[in-house]
Amino acid sequence: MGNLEKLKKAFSESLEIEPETITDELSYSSGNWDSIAHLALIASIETEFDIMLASDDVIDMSSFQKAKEILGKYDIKF
Amino acid sequence: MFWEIENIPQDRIALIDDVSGENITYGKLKEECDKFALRIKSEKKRLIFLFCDNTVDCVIAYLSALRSGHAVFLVNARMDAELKNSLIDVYQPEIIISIEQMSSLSRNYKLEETGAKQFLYFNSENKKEVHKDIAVLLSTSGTTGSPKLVKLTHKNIQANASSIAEYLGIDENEKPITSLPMSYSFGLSVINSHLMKGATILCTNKSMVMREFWNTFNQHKCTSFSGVPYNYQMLQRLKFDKMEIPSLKTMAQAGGRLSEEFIRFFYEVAKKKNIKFFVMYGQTEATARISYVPFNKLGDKIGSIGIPVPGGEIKIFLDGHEINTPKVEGELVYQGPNVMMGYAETREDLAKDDELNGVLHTGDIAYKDEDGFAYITGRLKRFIKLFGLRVNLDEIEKMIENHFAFAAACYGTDDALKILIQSSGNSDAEPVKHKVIETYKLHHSVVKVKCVGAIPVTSSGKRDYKAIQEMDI
Repeated sequence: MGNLEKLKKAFSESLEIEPETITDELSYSSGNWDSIAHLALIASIETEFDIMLASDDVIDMSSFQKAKEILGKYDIKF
Repeated sequence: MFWEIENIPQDRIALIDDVSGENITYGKLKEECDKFALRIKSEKKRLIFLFCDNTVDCVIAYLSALRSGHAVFLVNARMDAELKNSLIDVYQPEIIISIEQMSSLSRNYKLEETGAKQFLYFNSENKKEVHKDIAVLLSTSGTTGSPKLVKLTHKNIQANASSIAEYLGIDENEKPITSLPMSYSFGLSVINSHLMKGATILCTNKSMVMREFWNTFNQHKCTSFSGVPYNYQMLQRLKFDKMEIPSLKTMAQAGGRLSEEFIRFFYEVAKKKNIKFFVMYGQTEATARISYVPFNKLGDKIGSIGIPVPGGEIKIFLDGHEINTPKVEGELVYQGPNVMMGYAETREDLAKDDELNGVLHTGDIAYKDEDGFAYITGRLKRFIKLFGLRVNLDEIEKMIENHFAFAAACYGTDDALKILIQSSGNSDAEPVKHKVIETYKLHHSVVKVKCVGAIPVTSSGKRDYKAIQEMDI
């Protein structure tokens, strides 16, 4: 699985949405993305990529686009 | 009374709107409340539904309702339209105040045309009695479809606000942020107790998991926040000990049991940073707060729900008798001026007199230690609190059994709901999980479903919840 698929999988599982509906614009407080789903999302990304996100990155991850940028810091390329 | 804001120096800032940055002084707040009161003016006491979020406008609408002597039911504006309409059907409010236009309201409701920011609907058909003492109505249940409401009087909300302000040591220099919805008893208690003391409240809908919340907190130099266990779990994940929040002086936790490990973590951090950390306990049935652990005693009392709020009493009852021996368990019974009048399940119930007379059987099993600090060890009834909202396990079992053709057994903790279903096919788990999540609006990560050949029963044929829990899924 490529990195983009992995990230979409993490989003689709924790926000309970179809992977096809995920766009860069998908952002916090839209749809199912609330504070509870956010923690599930963080856990899911950490498992999927086997990383530990810094606190700053957890609270900055406010959109799908932003998630890709943040993961770049962890040498995960899209 | 805290809603008599004319008693506060009029140039003090009451509310700050985090979006516009606008400051509202107590003088201006009074003016706005008077203006709003004209819109909801009526000879007779009315029932108002306020679909609210944490904005200045919603605080004004709430205070105006109190000042006008109406009864106001605070409902989260994010509740879905179908549930909103079913509550409207049951209670037939004469006035509906909403931050957005309502969909599919009955034709009896007429929209007031003003161009003001909120939408007001009036139903002139309905003129049923509302008890003169009712000030506020709140929902207690996490199972949001349930129309059961808690009836709170003016005396209740005033007494609890006053107790809270006293033990938290609130003064006019405090600046809390609205980290919980005002439709939730805990969130509302923060607003009430701070208005009482002429403090400044930062009104926001932002979430503690987003940077914007903390930017706002720091920018306005807020002094306190309140949270349920889930918020604290998240703060620990965010390495709260390393966060730079220089203006933070007080943090309060209630809304369910926070594990001792977490309490210890926050206790240590708070001590180091000179922050007062309050672990508290309460129920909506007692307006909000029943007990608290004084912050300077927390180190010795981790795991305790503390001592009763000023003006209240905690008693332990076993078989109808009060127990005064330390460390003996029984039902926690709370007595105080903040105990509700009773529940309502129909519009007619809003006319009934006080049914509790200041005595609340909490349904929690507890004991007291030698110093009078209470510890909760279990529950009489089968409830869990998920994210601060009460979920009735028996109700969920019934729902599953009615909807599917197999037996179900629910158990859980304050952060997970676990369901066993009696079915040989593993494919039955997913539809059950889906149904539960959808019905009770839960996040899928907190619900676990497992198929088992047989749900354990006791010798008398009842569900053996002890054995069920030991199967831990």
